[in-house]
Amino acid sequence: MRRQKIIVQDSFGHHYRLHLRSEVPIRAPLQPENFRDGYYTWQFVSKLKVDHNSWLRLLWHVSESPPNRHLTLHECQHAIAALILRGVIKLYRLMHLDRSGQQTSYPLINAAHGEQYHFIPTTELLSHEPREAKFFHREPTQATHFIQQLALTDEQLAAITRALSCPLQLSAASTAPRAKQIAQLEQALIAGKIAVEQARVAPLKQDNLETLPVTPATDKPMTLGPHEEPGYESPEKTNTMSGGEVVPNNKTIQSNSPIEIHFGLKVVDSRTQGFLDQLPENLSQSIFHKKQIGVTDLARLTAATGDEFALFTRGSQRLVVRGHRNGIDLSVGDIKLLQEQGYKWSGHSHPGTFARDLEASGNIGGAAQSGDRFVLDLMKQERSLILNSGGSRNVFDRFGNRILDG
Amino acid sequence: MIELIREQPKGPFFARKWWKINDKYTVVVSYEDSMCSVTVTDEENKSITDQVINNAPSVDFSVAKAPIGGSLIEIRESAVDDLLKEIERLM
Repeated sequence: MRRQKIIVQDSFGHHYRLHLRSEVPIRAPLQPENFRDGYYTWQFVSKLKVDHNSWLRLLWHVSESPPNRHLTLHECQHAIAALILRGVIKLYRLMHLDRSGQQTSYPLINAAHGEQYHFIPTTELLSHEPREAKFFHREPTQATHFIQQLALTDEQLAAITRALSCPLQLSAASTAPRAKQIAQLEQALIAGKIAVEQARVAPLKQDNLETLPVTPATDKPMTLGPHEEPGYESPEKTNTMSGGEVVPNNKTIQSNSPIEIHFGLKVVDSRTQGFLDQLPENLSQSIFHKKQIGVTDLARLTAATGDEFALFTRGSQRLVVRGHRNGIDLSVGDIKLLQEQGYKWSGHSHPGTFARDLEASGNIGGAAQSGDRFVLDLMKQERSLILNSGGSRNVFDRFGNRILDG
Repeated sequence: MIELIREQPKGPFFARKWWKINDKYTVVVSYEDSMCSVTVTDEENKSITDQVINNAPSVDFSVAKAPIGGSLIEIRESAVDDLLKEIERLM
């Protein structure tokens, strides 16, 4: 179960995302609101439109108040203000919600090479489900190049500036000359106020744990995982039942979420136990049909055991291998053998629930080839997926990590 | 006591045998083309291959690194039995 994002509104109608320190860090180039003074922070908190029970629940969640202790609203607000000052809770302003409180639709831009993009306010990424976006705040030259490559028509440019004029104070399309609009767009990209998102065919189902990050909409899919490799089939492609799994006999079996299993809130469900029975010890392996198992099951297996698991895909086959607490002892020879047989490395799981547990290890090239990235090289892939015991995901490639759950 | 608990022919991976030592330690031997690779875990499924590497000088082996795992013992197939006995002695 993904944690619901906490979005609150103040008495002026301004929206804020409350980000807890225990959540996956925010990767977008956004700065939280700056709070230093205790009285001002309390005043700010007291003007947020949040009811007493919601504050209590939040305090219980961050373990600041036991469930059996009753705090007055005033005490709650003071406690929340203290948490903000300590950095346990950070607030991010969501200007794009301020006018309507609703997500605006952003125009789809057809690029010359067949791909489609949205320009979105970066804050949009804090209010919606986890998704992939490109930032240009560290790459000003690329921002300029990207916009040039899009060869935006006047109509497209007008639509973009219209959609982004409210949150970003861009000049209205009708009044600003084209060069100025382009320059504003570039500046907003470089400042990190705008992100670029590639369009999808179908929106992600928020409650579907088995949906991969992106369903590509274009001839050349912008994929986030190894599913861009030839012959790869998404492990989640056929798992479309919300909150459950599709099994060969078309029965849907509910599985407990990885985080619930990890923290012992739910027992290891019979389905997960069924996989474990087939993977009893280190380097056990088992092949399943694609309809039987998805990548989130790796997180469930790790949550249940504390061991790492890896999933390799070939056509409709999914090969799952169990490792141990610290890794999966497949030799270089084993991995090369898999690659020669046409398997793709869909992903693997790391024990732990912190964002750092999602980090990919290793390097490519030179004498120090090692780790997850070396396996990418051996499997001749560009990307693969890491999940942690909480079910959070990272698509990593040779150069970086892209945490998706934040 | 050294007990063969499972074996698997070559398939997606090289052929493997799983041995249980003293009912606690699991030794997995992978029979690769020119040599075998061996990994050892304890009853909590923690790797103890490094401990074996550091304490089994009487057996001739080399050490490799599993890219997403820990150390692997590389050994000739003819020396696997000796290594199993050495692990039993050590543990």
